[in-house]
Amino acid sequence: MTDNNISYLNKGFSEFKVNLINYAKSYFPTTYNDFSEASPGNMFIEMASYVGDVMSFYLDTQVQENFLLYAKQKENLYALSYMLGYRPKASYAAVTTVDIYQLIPFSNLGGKNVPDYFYAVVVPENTILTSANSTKFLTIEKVDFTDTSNTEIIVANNNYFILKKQVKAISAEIKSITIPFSTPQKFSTTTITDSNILQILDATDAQSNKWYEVPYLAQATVFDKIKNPTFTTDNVPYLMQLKRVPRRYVSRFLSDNTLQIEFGAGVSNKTDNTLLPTPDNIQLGLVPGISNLYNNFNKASTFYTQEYGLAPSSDVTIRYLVGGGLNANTDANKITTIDTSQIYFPSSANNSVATYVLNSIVVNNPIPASGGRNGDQVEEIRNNALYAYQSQLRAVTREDYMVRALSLPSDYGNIAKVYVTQDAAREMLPTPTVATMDDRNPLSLDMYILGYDSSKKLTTTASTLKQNLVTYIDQFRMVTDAINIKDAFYINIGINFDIAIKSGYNNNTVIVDCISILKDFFNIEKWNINQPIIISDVQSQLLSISGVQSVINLEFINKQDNTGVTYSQYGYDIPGATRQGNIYPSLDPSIFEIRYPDTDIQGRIVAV
Amino acid sequence: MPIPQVTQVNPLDLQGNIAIGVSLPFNGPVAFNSTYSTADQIKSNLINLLLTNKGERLYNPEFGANLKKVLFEGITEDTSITIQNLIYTNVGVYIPEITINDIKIITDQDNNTISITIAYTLNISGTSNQITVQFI
Repeated sequence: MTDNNISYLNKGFSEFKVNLINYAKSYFPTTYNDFSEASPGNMFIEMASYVGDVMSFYLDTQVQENFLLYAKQKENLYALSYMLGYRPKASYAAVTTVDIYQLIPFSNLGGKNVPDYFYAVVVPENTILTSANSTKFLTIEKVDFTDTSNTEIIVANNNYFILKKQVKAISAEIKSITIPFSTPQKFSTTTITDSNILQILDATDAQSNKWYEVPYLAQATVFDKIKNPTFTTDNVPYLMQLKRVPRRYVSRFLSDNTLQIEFGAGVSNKTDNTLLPTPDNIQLGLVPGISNLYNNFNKASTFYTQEYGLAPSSDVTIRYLVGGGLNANTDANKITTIDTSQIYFPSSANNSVATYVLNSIVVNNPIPASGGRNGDQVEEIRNNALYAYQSQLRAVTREDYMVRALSLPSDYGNIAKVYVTQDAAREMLPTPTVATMDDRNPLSLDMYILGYDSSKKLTTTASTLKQNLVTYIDQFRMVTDAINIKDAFYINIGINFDIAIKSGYNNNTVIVDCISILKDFFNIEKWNINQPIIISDVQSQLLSISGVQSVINLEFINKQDNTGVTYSQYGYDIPGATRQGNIYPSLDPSIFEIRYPDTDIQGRIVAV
Repeated sequence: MPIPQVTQVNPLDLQGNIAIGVSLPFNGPVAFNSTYSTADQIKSNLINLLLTNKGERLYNPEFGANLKKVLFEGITEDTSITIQNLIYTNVGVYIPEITINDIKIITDQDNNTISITIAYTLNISGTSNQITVQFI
């Protein structure tokens, strides 16, 4: 071939034509000589060039479609994004927080009227709400009015209180489909052809076995939640644990936004532990060879066990959520209808009062439902897939661990603040020696956490929450990392300030504005562990208030309570921690908090 | 003393066993009939030009005499003039090796046919030739 001097660098029509003419001139000088434009033979050279051009185009396209950055066809982008760990979405649900109200009768307790929680209802999760424009919403958490925390109580009339709780809701409705199965088949696949599918809610077979969705079939465990028996004392509703699930499936959106579901390959009725690989059975199912040194031993492919999950052998009913999209975004105060058919009384109350209470339940969304939009577009898939590839669902940096800890679902406890640093004990070690290296893991990290109490004040977290966090983080932790989960310290402070005001301003108005801006500045949501107070920033806040002429005095005082009930039990030497206009937190990770802003911030107006 | 007549010849015409190109129509035993003289090849090229419309050739949209387009619009008094102009213009561009001596256009409106006869001379040798193309 190469002896004929073929040029392999041609790509376009013109290049092919020139080279074909040159080739004909070189190798067929007695067969063809007329290369003028009008020559009929030229037409055939041009046709060959045309074929070459088309093939070059397809070759370029095929190569291009293999790279995420250049792929244009949606099917290829979907495949590439799944390969990199990103799951494209067919629709995004609008999210809002709704207020749910119920009337509850008085009960006389020691001469005092209190709510009679015998008539408190439970609004289960997935309760249907409807907006004025008929968009369906679902509550995503159970609302239990028997739980008195986070409940607003208002006197309605002489006989009833109003209880108010909040719950998040998403624009979605539940649909279901039954997929027929009989004889188990490896990797059975089915497709749900519906529009705006959000996710699968649950799947159950004819024997009432629950099937679990996993990110990939080789993942044999899912997070499971069990009720926390010490919930009343530590306020952690559920304990997180890993559950092994042989009945599992994966789902993936196709480019036409339908949802494909694939079940496992296990058609054996034997349990995995009976197929534990041993030197006697390890070669079963493998292609015979002289040496096993280079064989890829994979339990799943060797035995077709439950390693990739079971294949279903009876009909599977799948409930899934549809909804979302731009039209799902709803104005405030428009979600006003609630389906009460699933609401129940845990006390089994069943009388006329119970009926009256049930009919009294109303709902409203004080904030608009937002975030609803259509599914991922091509460029969104491309960029999200690149991001997913970088993160790999693994915690590598300190920030990864912090974000992962904060993302712990609220059912398993409430983490307010997280700070991750190198193991402090290791840092304080003297020059490393062989002995000390053996003693401590050089990759160990200290994760300091704090939670909120029911009044949104910082508090240390319960051991159950820490245990949940351990279980959760462990799934994303690098095997060589070690995490020590510890309580951070919170330092309670108060502020006393003196200001001079300009003439013509009302003293009370200015002082209220000053206190208000300091409350906002020290809002605990805006503060992090180990964040210093920059005194000049606080002064600037005060000076930004209209009417303030100058800040005469600005004093930060430590608030401490040895019992730890009203304030932190740990005192702090604020003057000693003040350096060059900054108040630094302690070496042990800590955070400043104004615990009671209404009383801990005090201001005066002085005459100058 | 008489002036000797000088005749130019394309070198390829001196070697009878060397094919110049392919002739029209493609009706040879293996589809193609080779031509062995430049005169025959130019004849085929001229037919090819007259039968090709502009835009038909890939990457060469200007190639062609565009005669079919004129004929498709119906035969009028101006048709002959238009056809002549197109032939003169395009032959001048794509087959400069010939000089057109005469163009005869016979229209048969009853049968919707046009017969075009072109008499031309090969510039290099001075040989005269003619072709007739009929459009139905």
